[in-house]
Amino acid sequence: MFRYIVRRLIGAAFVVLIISLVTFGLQWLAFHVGGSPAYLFLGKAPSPEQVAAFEKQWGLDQPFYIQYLTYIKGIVFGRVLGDGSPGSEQVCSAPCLGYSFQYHETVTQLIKDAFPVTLSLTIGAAIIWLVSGVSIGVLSALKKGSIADRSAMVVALAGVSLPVYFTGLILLYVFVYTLHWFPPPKYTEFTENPFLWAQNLILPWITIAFGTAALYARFTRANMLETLNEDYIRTATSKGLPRRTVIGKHALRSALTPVLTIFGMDVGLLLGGAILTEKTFSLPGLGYLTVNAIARSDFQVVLGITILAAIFIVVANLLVDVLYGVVDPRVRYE
Amino acid sequence: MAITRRATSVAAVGAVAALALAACGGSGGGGNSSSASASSGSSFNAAVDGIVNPSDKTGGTLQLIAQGDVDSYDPARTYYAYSWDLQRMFTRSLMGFAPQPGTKGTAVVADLATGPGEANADKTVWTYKLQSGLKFSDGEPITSKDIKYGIERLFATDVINGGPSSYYLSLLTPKEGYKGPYADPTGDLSTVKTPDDTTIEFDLSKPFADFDYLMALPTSAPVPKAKDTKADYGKNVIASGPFMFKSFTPNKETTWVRNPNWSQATDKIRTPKVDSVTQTIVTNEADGDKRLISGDVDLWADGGLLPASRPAVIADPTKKAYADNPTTGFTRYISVMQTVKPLDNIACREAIFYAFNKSDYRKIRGGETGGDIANTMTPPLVPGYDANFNPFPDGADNTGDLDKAKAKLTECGQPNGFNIAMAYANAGVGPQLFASVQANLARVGIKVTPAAADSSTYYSTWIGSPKNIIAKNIGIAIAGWGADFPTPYGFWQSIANGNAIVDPGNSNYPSLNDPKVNGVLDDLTKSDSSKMQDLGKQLDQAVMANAVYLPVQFDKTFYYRNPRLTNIYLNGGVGNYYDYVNIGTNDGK
Repeated sequence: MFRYIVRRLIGAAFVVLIISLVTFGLQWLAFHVGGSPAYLFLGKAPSPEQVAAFEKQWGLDQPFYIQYLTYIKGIVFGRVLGDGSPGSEQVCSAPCLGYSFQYHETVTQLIKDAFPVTLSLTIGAAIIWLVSGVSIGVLSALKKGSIADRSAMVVALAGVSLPVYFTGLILLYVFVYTLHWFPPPKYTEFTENPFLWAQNLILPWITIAFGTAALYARFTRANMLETLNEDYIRTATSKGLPRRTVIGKHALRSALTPVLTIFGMDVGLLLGGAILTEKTFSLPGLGYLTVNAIARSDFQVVLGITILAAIFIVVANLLVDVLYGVVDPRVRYE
Repeated sequence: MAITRRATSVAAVGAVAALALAACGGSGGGGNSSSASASSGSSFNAAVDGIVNPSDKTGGTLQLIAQGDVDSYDPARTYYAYSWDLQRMFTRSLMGFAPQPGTKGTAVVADLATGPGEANADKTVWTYKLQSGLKFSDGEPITSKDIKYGIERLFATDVINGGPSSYYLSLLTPKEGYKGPYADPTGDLSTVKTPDDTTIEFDLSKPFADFDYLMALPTSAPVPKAKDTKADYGKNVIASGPFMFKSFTPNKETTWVRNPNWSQATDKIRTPKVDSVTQTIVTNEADGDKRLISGDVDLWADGGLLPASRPAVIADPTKKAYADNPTTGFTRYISVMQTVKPLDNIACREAIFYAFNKSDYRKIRGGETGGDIANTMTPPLVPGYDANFNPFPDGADNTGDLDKAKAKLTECGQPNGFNIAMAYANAGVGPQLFASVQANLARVGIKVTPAAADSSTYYSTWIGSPKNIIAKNIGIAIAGWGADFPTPYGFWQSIANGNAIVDPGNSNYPSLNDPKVNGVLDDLTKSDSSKMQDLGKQLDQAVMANAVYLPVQFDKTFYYRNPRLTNIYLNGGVGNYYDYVNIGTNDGK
């Protein structure tokens, strides 16, 4: 088990390294093809001398491999941004993910500010979609062909079909502007006021969970139906085990293994930023940060968030693989 | 060209910092209800030329929303037009824009200074006296040395950048050079002298008649040396205005509260009414419009309503009464490149002028509420604008004069038309505008091919590089322009002075280098403000005679304001945004 985790961690680090190289390469290409970020940073009509000084100050005149190694070194050990000239020096502690020329701030700090929002969004939405999606899927499988099953699958189909921004706008219109059950969304820190935190996130949670839970319900239902037809289930039933034990201990654990896989992927993806939901509900999370950075060609921010999102996904995958052994005893780590 | 976050309807760049009509250079101002028309009721466009709901009621919170944060709260590093308006709440400069609606607001008046700058005969030495009793929010006195230090910071271009510091650097760089207070902590900016705490003298390297306007920008605000946190000063601004920062959470919310060390007796521009101001980031613009129209918040700080939200307001008289649709002072135009064949022939350029369909273009840019058709480059609020000047009439419906266009094509030896590339930013409505121009110029045989570029580098290295224009054979380019300060020189210098062409980073996209134009611009640097209107007209006519700037539209913004707001007006001096610092609420909440 330990050797397996270490091996996977090394593999995960390698994947992240490749992603960082590709993304950094794209950023480098954008600079050389599209134009210098100096024009984003320096303001009105910078002189060619100012542009050249800026590029020297930020190491943009260095060869690609030196720029990349400096960046990776910053992530691992931290670095001093700029060329260290008086007044311009800025210590960027590890993990230093670069500097935003748009916000005049380190990317790490920007991510620190935005991440709690995205984490809040992810935790609530994930709980809702997992619990509701799996429950509906299991019940539908057990009541296959019933009105409840058919109704649940119709709702699930709608959930899968409706885009997040549509669901979000409908919820805003109905519950905020028509029924006035919720105030207009405005993010509040959990530590500041847990009630307001939840109140302002409930609609975004539902927005994300609606579509995702629908997928999970259909997925769980299909897996359950397949598992219920397995020989070992029939054997367990014929041995006289209670139905609850057969369903809960034997069928559900087996059916949940693939669900767990996509759950890990989905949580990892969402932690990288829920662009449409954050935009719809004015939540200043990683998704919002990403959109702004792309719109203003603030490539260091895009680079930092991409690497972070990649880390979330590979770590989530690793956790899921480890959890397989807990959910399904047949899984052994070699 | 200051930049707007939520430009009038669509575009990513552009708008104005300040625009103006003649009244320039005066020392009027003082109070905001004495000379402007005031109205206790409200009607459509009432805040364009008058003060709506004048009231002395104090208290409450002005609740602003914005789609994104400003570029920086450091007064020297901000270049968003609405940010300069926000700066007015907590930053004071030697001069400021009058607290008056519309064009009256474009007059520069004394702020920290006792009066306008006193200039020598050739406008190269400017002296200001500071008022007594001025204090920063930390209780320390504001002296001439703080003004000088604020200017010195601009020379640290590797740290203090992002704003229009190039104006100051070009006028105040000493012969011996100066690298700013960080790289040269023992050095001194010898071109700025402070003989005592209330006197400051600027020795310019060349005449500059608009210097009072430069002193009205937040870029020249005082900064206390002891509290300068360099690149982080934007997070720790020491206020000199009636409000100061209480909190700032990037991308979320900013809160300002009253500055106890500010004195009304020293300030004739600001008469604050509310106790605090908040700005909340709302990324969903449609949702923000709903919140505003429902009365949940007071104003969009960084722009107007979305085009989709406007019809409902216009259709409802009770809502329309609280809407304003002013021009912004920003001119949308097509740059016609004389450096590319066959456009080196003026008749070929004029053929494009006559074949252009401005009406179609405006529909894409928001229709009537998005802008007015422009027949000349100088926008209505800048001295020199002449509503009757239309050197290239393009038909009663502004769809083009095709017969005239064909005649011009024959005159330039291209009776069947010619091929050119058109530059546009590959974002927003850029592709739509290209398609419209392509279809309309094809009516006379001018074939247009695309030359799209990323919006972030479009102005700097795509059409801002004369070499690139020639290399890519770019014949025409979509562009827009607004002045940094509301004078003819402020509007034209960057885009028409043939002596200021650079590569890249050029703003004079057609590389206009006309001795007559250059001469009038030179005259403007030495002339009294009384000649501004006349010289502005001469300049506009001289530029238009070259047929390199094809004006299309004067931008407009469609604002909505919460009915509870008092003392509200659009100030031309701050880019026709509402003058936030003087707004009150009728409910004291």
